[in-house]
Order: sequence, then C-alpha cells, then structure tokens
Amino acid sequence: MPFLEVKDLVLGLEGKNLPLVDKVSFSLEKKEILGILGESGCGKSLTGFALLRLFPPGINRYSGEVIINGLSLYDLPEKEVLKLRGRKVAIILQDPLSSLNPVLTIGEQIEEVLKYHFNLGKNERKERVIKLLNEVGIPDPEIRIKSYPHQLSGGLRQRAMIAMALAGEPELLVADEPTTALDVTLQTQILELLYELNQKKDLTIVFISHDLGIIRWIASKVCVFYAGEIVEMAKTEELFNNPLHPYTQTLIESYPKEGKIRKVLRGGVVNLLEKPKGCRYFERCEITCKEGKENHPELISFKEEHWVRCFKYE
Amino acid sequence: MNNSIVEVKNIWKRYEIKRWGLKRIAFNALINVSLNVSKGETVGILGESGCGKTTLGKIILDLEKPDKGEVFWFGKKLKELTKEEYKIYRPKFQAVFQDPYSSLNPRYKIADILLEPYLINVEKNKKKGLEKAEEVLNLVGLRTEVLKKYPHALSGGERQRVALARALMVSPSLIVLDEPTSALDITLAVQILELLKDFKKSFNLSYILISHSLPVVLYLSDWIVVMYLGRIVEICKKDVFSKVKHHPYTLMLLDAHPDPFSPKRFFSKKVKGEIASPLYRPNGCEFHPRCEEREKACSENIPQLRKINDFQYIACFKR
Repeated sequence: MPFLEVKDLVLGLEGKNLPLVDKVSFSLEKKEILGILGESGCGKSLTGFALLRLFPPGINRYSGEVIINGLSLYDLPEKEVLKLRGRKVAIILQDPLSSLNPVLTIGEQIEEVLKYHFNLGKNERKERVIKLLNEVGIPDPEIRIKSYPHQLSGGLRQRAMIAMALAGEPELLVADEPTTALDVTLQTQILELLYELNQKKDLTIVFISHDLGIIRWIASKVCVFYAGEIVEMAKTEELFNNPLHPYTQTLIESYPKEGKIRKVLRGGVVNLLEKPKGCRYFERCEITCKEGKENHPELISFKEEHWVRCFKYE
Repeated sequence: MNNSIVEVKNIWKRYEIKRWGLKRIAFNALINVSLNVSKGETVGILGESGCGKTTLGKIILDLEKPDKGEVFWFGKKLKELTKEEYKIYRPKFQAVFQDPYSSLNPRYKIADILLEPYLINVEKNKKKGLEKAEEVLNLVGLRTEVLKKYPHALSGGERQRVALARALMVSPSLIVLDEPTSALDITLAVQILELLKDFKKSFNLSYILISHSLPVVLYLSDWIVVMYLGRIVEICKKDVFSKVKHHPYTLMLLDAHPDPFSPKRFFSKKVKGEIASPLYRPNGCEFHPRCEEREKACSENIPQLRKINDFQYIACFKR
C-alpha cells in the first residue's frame, strides 16, 4: 500500500459547480519526493493544501479522497485532523516573513508546536527547539531562539520555518514553492537541506514549484499540472528525457538553454470559468487533433509508470 | 566611444540608516563602479539581493545621485547638461520594473498610462498619442481593447507587457529592466524575453538587465556584469562566458542554478553562506568568507578589477 494516496480529488468554489482541481489522483511511496510542476493558477497549491485538509476561503472539496498511511483524511472528524496536522503532515510556504508570527520569537513559535503535540517539560522543550534549529543549520541556536523573524535573514527565516514544520516529527512534508522568495545561492542550500532530511529522516515530500530546474533536482517523481488537471506523470528522469504531453515538451524546450530559447508557448491558460468541454490545452497545442476540440482526453497509462492525458497516445 | 549611450565612471553611493532610533550608520551601496553601455548593447547585471544592482540602475536613470563619480548620457556629463538638453535626453532612458502590480497606477486606464509619458515628452497631441499607443500595444502583443481597461483587469503577463509598452511610447534609447520576468511564470517570462530580444534588434535598443536569474541574463545580454556587495567582481562577454575561467563568486552562482537539462542530483560544495550585510563588510575581499579558494591575502587586501583579456575583467587575486 502506498504511503500517500490521492484519489479523484476534486476541489472548487463553494456552492458553484466549478472544479478548479479536477480528478487529481496520484500515489506516493514513503521517502519519495513528488514534484508538482505547473504555472500559477493550475491548482498545484490547492492540491498541496488539500493534503492537510486546508482550504483557502471559498474553496472546498467536492469529492475524492486523501489517504495518508492508511488514514482517510476526509473521513476523520475535525478534532482528529487537528492532531494529525503538524504531527503527520506539515507544510512550508513560499514567504516565511508573512507566514511567521512577527510578535513571537522563533523559539516561542516552534515551542508552540511541541506544546500542542507532545507532553514535554519546559526544559525538554527548549532542548528540543535548540536541537531542531541545529538540524536545519541555523548557527548559534541558543541565541537564535530569542530572535524575532524580522531579525533573521531570508535564508534563516526559511530554515526556521522548516524547523517549525519538523517539530511535530511529520512523515509527510508539503513544500509550496519554499525557495521562490530566496536568492539562488540560498535556494540551493534550502533544497539541499530538504533533500538531506528526506534521506536521513525518511521524510516524504510533496514539492510544489513552477521551476523545471528545481523539480528535476529534487523530485523522484513528477506530476505536471495544467488548468487543474494532471496532464502527465512519470519518474523524474523519464519525464525529462521522454516528455510525452505537448505541454511538457514545450515547457522543457522553452526553458532558455545556453542563451537560446528554442520554443515559445503562445497564448494563456484556458479560462476555467468558461467550463471548457474539450482538451484544456487545445488552444495552445501545436498538434492538430480533431478529437481535442470537443472531447476531453483521459489520463492514460502510456507505458509503465508513465501517464499522459493526450489523444495522440490513445 | 561615440556610440556610448550611458557610461558611469567610478561611482560611489552611500546610504545612511538609523539604527536604534538615534545612531546613524552609513554604508556603501556602490563602490567604485564603472560601466559603459553602447548603442544596441545589452548589459546584464547579475547578483544576489543587496549587491547594489538596483541602485546602479537608479543612478543610470538619474533617480538617485551618486556621491562620487560621474554619469555620462550620450557621452555628456549628466551634471553639466542644460535644462533643454536634459529634457531631450531624459525620456531616452526608460525603465521596466519587476512587479507590474505596483508599477502601474491602479486608477489610470491603460490608455492614460500609455499617454502620460507621450504627452509630456513627445508632443501634446492626444490623437497622435493614441495612434502611437495602438502601434506599441500591437508590438507587445496586446489587443487595443485593453486601452479602456484598468490594470486590475489584466493578468500579470499582460501588465508586464503594458509596462514595456509604456517604456516604448517615447522611443527610448535604453531601457533599464529591473527583474522584468521574476514575477512571471516561466511560459510568460519566455514570451516577454522573446519580445525584448525582438525590440533590441528592430529598434537597436540598449538594455541594462538587472536579474538574479542566470538563464535570463545569458539569453539577453552581450556583456555580463557580476556584482557582489556593491562592487563589480567580474565583467565577461557573453560569447565567451561558457568557455572561460570565472571569478569564484560567478562559479558559485553557476553552481547554484538548478539546471533542468542535467540529471545529476548532487550536493554542491561551492554554495555556502549568505551575502554579508553592507553594514558589516568583511575585511579584504568581501567575498572571501564564502570563497573556496581564499588565501591569506584575500582577508587583508581588496582585489581590484583587472583586465584579463578583451572579453573579461575580474577582481580576484587568484585569477
């Protein structure tokens, strides 16, 4: 049984029949790193949040399941979910400055997690916090626990947020563009830290990003999202070496390589409010297919461990 | 030097900040920076945040005055321009900023946003201005219907196109592009980059491209300038960039860039540490605490930018 299983997850605006994430299914073994790749508005962050049963205002789940380690997240009462959140699944976000509390020291904020999930004495908690800060590579943790978020640099802040996510000793970490706000040298360091945690602590990671380079670097398996759907899914090396879907192909070829852009993806993403009937990539697709205009392709298994949603392969 | 659009010579810029309410601390944002941009040339400035790249852009645009050093517009000293000359030259230097959400006035319709610089700088003729606006919108790939819209009705990519269109309204010679694609998705970024490259050719435009993204800089630039803590540490011609030996900091940036075309998952030994605060500069070479190749001399003396050959200048004792 896979460690994480998402089955036909449909998320959308409350009260309206408008799916923004449509029938997303994937599964993940323990210690794997899943990369979710997609443009903004493609539903990748919504999917990430749904793994913690969290939704932005106005958005809710229509149907589908999330099963973490045999526990069906959406069948649990809210009280049980609170115990799970932070303990089994944790999340780190893009901008640590706005997701950390500015009036509490980072030590206090990490301690809060420990207070909630574990029954520890005051000194034990402090030791634990220092150990956590050490683990994520924050120098002088004894001094740093008394720092406020604004006193830390961007890189240290992101490390503090990772420490907070790790405080509940989660098995699954959702990382929603954790390096976008950082400089490239810090980005490398944070990616290395996450990879190290994955290797040493068997942490399963769902890594959400729009950057092809980062995804190839960190993920062992990739889902490509387009307009709320998975359009392609495969092991990382397979996906980058043999991309099947025209969108994935163009995405890779449009990345500047040695100072040249080989292909440009024209147009914009289809407007989901118009409830497109056919293939959602139809307007931008360079392959002319008859079926795509009216019919919606299904995600099919083209070969072992490689799924694609395109009529070309049916 | 006749075709020089903008040149800065030995620029220093100091800022003062208040710490703990009373005490004023000064720091240098730019130290002895010299740079020349010729007609049709693109200079890409690469560096981490806090390295002074945006300040340099502002000085070139005359939005900030340098404390020491000279700025030349079209070979003439900026300080000595007469009022009339300034009025002619000023609109030749335009800017496109990172965030198209905050750089467009939310209360102006796109038509007004585009017309304003035209009416002030070119001529007071609304009809001709609108014609120009339509022409420019066409160039940046937007339909003329957007003229009646407000910025909030446009997507991020469309807004960035409007920002670019606004810069083109006055037929500039040079555009300072301050992280023009960082706020955009890769597919939109690529569209904008392609437009910029087209304009460079068709209008013989010069750019100063400020970015922390290596592929973006490599795509557009003819010269690549790497800055660290307010100093230029390397200048390299794009054509030879992949072939020559670089400054250790450039090597670090190269190493840090996650390349979607290489499968290797590795731990970089080169990438470490954070950029120091300009308030507390390390002694000697500012980069030495993070440098792999540092020696004793590196912590004592400051290396000057030296010419290696016609294509490369480096500030490092080890090169």
